[in-house]
Amino acid sequence: MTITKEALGTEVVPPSHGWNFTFFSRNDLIAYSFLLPFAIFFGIFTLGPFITGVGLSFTDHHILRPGTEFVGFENYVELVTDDPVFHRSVINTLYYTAILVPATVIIGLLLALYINSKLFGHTFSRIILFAPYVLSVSVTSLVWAWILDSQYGLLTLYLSKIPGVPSNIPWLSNIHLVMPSIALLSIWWQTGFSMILFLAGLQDIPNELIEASKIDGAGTFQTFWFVTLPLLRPVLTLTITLTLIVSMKVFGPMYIITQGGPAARSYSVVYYLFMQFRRLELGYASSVGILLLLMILLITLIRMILLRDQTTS
Amino acid sequence: MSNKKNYSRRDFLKLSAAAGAGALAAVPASRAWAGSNPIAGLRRKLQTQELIVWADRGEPQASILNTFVDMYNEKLAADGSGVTLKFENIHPGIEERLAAVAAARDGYPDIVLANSGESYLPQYITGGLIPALNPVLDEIGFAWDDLLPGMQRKIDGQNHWMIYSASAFLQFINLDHAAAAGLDIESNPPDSTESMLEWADAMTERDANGNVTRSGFLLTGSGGHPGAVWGNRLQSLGGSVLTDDGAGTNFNNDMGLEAIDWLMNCFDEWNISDINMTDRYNQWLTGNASIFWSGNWVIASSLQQEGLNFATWKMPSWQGGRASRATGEAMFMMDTGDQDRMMASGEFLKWFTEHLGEYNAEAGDICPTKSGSELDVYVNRPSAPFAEPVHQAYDEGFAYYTNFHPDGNVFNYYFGEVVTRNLDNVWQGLQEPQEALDRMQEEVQEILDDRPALAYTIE
Repeated sequence: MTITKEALGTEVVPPSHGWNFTFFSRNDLIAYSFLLPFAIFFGIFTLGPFITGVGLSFTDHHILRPGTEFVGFENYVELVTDDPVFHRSVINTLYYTAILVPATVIIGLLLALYINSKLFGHTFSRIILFAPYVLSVSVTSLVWAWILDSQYGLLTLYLSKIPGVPSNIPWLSNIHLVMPSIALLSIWWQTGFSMILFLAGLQDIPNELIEASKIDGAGTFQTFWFVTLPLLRPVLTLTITLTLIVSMKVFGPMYIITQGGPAARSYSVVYYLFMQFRRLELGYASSVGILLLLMILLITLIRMILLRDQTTS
Repeated sequence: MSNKKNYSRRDFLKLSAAAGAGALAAVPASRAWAGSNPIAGLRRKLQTQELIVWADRGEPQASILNTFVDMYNEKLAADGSGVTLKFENIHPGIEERLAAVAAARDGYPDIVLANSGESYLPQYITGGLIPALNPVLDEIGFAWDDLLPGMQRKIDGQNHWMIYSASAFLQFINLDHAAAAGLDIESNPPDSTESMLEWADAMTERDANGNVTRSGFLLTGSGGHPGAVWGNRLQSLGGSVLTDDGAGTNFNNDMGLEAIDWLMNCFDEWNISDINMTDRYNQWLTGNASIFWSGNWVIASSLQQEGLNFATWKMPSWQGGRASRATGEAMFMMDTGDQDRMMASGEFLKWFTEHLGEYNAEAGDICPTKSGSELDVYVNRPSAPFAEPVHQAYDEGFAYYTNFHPDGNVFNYYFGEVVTRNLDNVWQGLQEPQEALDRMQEEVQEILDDRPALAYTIE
């Protein structure tokens, strides 16, 4: 088929050859000029610091000590082989991620299905369920510090009414409970966001497909499993990816509530990075940041392979 | 036909490289320009008129400090000096702000009215950012002889910071709990560890299963508080985390083990403490603990707490020793490189020192000056009856540490991260005491080999 001006209703500029092919038109330049402010902002506040951080990670830079020296991969080697606190922070972070991601995805999906079903109270529920997400991490952490108080917190108070449950539960002072407790806080805080993403995905599914499956005799679960869920795949992968990245960068509750304790069992990688920054060890702290980036990239890559991204046309 | 200009990919790359090179070149150029630019110089000159004061206090002390800064500003206005002070309370987070300004090499405050400041004072002193106060204060006629004994901290004979409120550890005792247990502080105070344990046992409440529901002796199961109590026990026995010269350790021995055993007994054998407790201040203020070891900074909030009937007593003796913690709220200048600003800052420190009686009367803290301690408003302050154990800690020469480390967050009198993290492994049952002390010894010595601690004298 020949592409013509008449067919497209616009002027077509044929490509040129060699070095002078038309790459940027006037319209392209105008478009790029609109992107320029963001590009400048990105360059100054994201790309620049990132490049600086990579460079610092190969040095022993301390803010107050003179004479920064290039140390090669020494910081990375020490982190990987000789820093038990860093190892603990990685384990804690992965543990937290393993709890948070499935929980927010599954609960978010269920809540979205409820909202989308337009059952009684769905409009009000949508607001209530999303409300926690608009709170700041400080407010959320301080409120949950009280909820999780071992003796007088709401959670202990209500659970202790169940026969056999003790009246004093060390949510934040027990090494086995502290990370699940922080994960619980985060589930309450972030599930609303997953819910909204899934809700958008559900509302994008044509009703005709659902009706057709029902006409064919599919039950509710079969419709969900064979029609709805496959069509939600792009949203599902997006939600998992976003939640993964956010969970790997957890910091706020550790800083505000637990300060990494007890026994470093609530140290996250970012909290550990922060502690190195407080010690003014910028070189070492930067290497922690770079390793975190590599970890997130690796986990995201694994996720992509397992779920095998499919884009819909 | 539209007037389009053809841009090749090579053109685009050339343009981008040129723009990037220009941006990179602009950075040092702009710095050089700022350094020599007369407009920037004039701006700095004008800024001399406004001194920046950072504070790192909770309430009510932060508001009271703000009031005193306002009073000083009124004095400056009346004198027509043209200098004003701008107050900013950064609590919590002052360490991070200081680290940020240190990294930026800009934005330093002129004066800091710190909490204790011990977690960050040493690194900024060794980094040259907190100068000795003596040259400035000597020039403006500071009354050194008005300071009470024990209120000066000197490094190589120089004062890098002054104390505006002295502190020490003391025992807080809930008198309602004591009365209910038939205990009388006048006739049989918890002056020794043995008597303190008897008191704690009598006041502890337990459920039918023997679990502690109200701690007779408040001791959290993790974090800085058990670390501080361990440190107190260690010092009572003659040990310490660091040796006096700051180059070695003195805790991985029988004294360190005995101190650990003492704490574990509070949870297990004596069953007087609830290991699940986390927020110690909350538990004390709401009457859920009977004996609380802390500092005099708790007096003000305890007085404000409705229904809390309490008394204070000095730290208990143990095996012939009695330990406390000689510290205080620090005030210091930062080296802004501007002599005029530093002289003006020194004037404020001098003025504030002359009014520490009024400040501490209102804040409920301990005045470090003779003249301030004799003021009626200070002598008759509501917290006066409770502050006696603090004076005793200094007057009677209790044992206390006299060094800190440039990596301040590491040690910081047993609240430090290295100490609390390693000892948490014991309280949480993850390691045997000897194993934890060995690991801590290894970690501490590695840090000291890199940089020894900073020792100071108390005068």
